[in-house]
Amino acid sequence: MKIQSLRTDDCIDEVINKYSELVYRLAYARVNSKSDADDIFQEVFIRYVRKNPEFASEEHRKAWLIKVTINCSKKLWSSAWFRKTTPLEDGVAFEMQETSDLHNTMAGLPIKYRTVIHLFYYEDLSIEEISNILSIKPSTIRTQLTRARAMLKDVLKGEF
Amino acid sequence: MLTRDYKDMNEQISPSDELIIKTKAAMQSKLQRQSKMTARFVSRPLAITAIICLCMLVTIPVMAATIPSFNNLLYLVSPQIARFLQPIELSSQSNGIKMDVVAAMNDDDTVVIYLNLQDLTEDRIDNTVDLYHYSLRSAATFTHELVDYDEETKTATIRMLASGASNLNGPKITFQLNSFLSGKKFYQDEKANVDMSNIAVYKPETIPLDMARIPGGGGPGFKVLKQQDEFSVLKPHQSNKQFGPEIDFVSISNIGYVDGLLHIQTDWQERTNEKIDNHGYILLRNESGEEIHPYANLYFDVDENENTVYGNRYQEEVYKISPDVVGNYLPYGYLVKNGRYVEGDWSVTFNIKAVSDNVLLAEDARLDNAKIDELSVTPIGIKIKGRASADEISVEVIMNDGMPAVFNHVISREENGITTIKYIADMPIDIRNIQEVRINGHTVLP
Repeated sequence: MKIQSLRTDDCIDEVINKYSELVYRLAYARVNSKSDADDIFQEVFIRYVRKNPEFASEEHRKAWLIKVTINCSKKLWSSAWFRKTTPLEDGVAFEMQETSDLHNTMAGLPIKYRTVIHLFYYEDLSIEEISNILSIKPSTIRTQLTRARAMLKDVLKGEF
Repeated sequence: MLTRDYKDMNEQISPSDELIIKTKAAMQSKLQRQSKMTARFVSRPLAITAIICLCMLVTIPVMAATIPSFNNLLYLVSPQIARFLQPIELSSQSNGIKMDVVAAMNDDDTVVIYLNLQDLTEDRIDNTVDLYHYSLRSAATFTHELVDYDEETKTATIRMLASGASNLNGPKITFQLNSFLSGKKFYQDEKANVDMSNIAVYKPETIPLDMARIPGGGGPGFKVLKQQDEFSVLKPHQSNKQFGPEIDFVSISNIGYVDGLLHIQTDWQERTNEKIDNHGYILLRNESGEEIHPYANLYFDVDENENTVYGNRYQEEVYKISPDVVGNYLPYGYLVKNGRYVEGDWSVTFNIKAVSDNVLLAEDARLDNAKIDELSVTPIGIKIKGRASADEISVEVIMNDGMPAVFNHVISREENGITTIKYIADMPIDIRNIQEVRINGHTVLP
C-alpha cells in the first residue's frame, strides 16, 4: 500500500507535528544535549524531504524516522569533534529532583542501552521491532535490556 | 514504577517551537528547490536559449570582466580556502586604478577579503604594493599581505584581514581604500658605521618623553615601558651615523646606555610627511652570528626647543645587552624605503554570511599568569578573550592527522582591560577534525 510521499505543505506540517517528539526525545536520549538534539532533529526532517521515501504503512514511516534519528546521532557521536569535546551544560532542566536523578542515571548508561530502553519502555516497541530497526538479533536486544535494567536497578533500587 | 517515571521524564523533553518553525521552513525551502530543479530540467532547452540571448544582449562585458577574477583567485589559493570563499565580484574605479573585491569569507568578528588592484592607465602597481589608508565598517585591527602579482596584467592580488568588529555576519560591509604605497625598496643587513667599543662608557644626554603622548611602540618590553609616566630617551642630533651609500632616508642620531638599557635612536626625517612610510628596525649581531633584537621601540618627535612632542620622526630602540659585551656587537639595519604614494577613492559594499558559527572550546580557564574568559574557534581561526597579552600566549592546535594548524597572523586588541587575540589560520580549520588544543603547553581540549 502506497501511503503518501511528501509533496505538499500540509504533509510537512502533518509529519512534523506527529513525529517531532518521537524524533527529538530519541535524539536527546542518545546525545543528552539539547543543541545536539536540535541538530539531529533538523537533519532527520531534511533527510525526509531530500530522500522523499515511500512507505508501506504508518509503522514503516515511524520505523524509518527512528532509524534515521539513530543514524544521524551515530554520525554525530562518531565524529572526532563530539568525542573530544566536553559537552556544554545544555541539558533539560527537570521540575523534580527525582526526575533529574533518573535522567542523570540514564545518561551514565552506554548509548546502546539507552537506545533500547527508550525504544522498549517509551516507544513501546517490541523486541522484534527494535531488532528490525537496529538490525540487531532479538537475543542481543534482550541481553542489552537485561543488562541495562540491572545497571539501573543497582543505582535506583527500583524496577522497570 | 520506573517505566512511568521514565515516561514522565520524556514528557518534559520537547523540541522548541522555534526549532519546529525553523525545521518546517528548511523543509519547505528544500522542497521548493527540488521542485525548481525538476522544472528546470524539463524546460532546459528553452532556459538555455533564454540565457544565451540574455548573455549576448546584456552581460558579455560584465562576465568577461568579473567571472575570471574569481576563477583566477581559485588558482592562487588552496582548495581548502577556495571551499570557504564566497564570490563578491564588485569593482570600484578611481584615479585610473581599478579595485576588484573578488571574494571574501568571514566569521562574527573577522573578515578575510581578497582584492585585486590593477592600474589601467599608468604603472603604479607592482609587487611591493601596500594598502595605506583603508577602512572596513567598525573593524578595529587590520593586516594584509600580497598573495600574487601578475606582471602581464600589472594586477596585484591582496589578502586583507580585518578583525574586531562586532557582528560581521550578515549585514552589509563597506570596504574603502583611499591610498596605497608601491615602488618600495628593501635594504637588509645594512651595517651601520658605528664604533661600538666606547658605547659602554659614553654618557649620552637624554630628554624626558611623556609616555601618554606617543603614537605607539612595539616589542616585548613596550608594555612594561608604557607603564611609566615618563621615559628617558636620547637627545637627538648628537651623532649622524650612516648605514650604506644608498641609505639616504635614515641615520643613527644618537646611541648610548640609559638606565642600564642600550638605546639606539634613528632619525627618519621624511616621515614628517604623512605620505611617506619609510620604516625598519635595527638588530645587534656579533661575529659568531648571535643576534639581539630590540626589547622595545617607540616613536616621538621634538620641537625647536628639543622637547619631545607627538610624532614619529624619531625611533628609539631599546636593547637588553650588558655593557661588558656590547663592544662585540654591531648594529645592522633592516630598512624599507617608500616609493610612491597613490591616492584615490575606491569603495565597495557587499554582504556575506559567516562560514560557520563560533564553537566555544573553553571558558574561565586560568593558565599560568593568563586568565582566559573564552576560547572559541571558527574555520578562520582561534579567538582568545581574557586578561592576557598576545606575548604571553602560545596556541597549538593539533588536527586528527597529527599535523599542527599553522597560524600566520595574530590580531590583538584591548578594550576595558579585556584583550581579544585572534590567531588567523593559514588554512581554514576543519573544526570537527581538531584533536587537541594546547595553550602555553596546557591541554584545554579534549
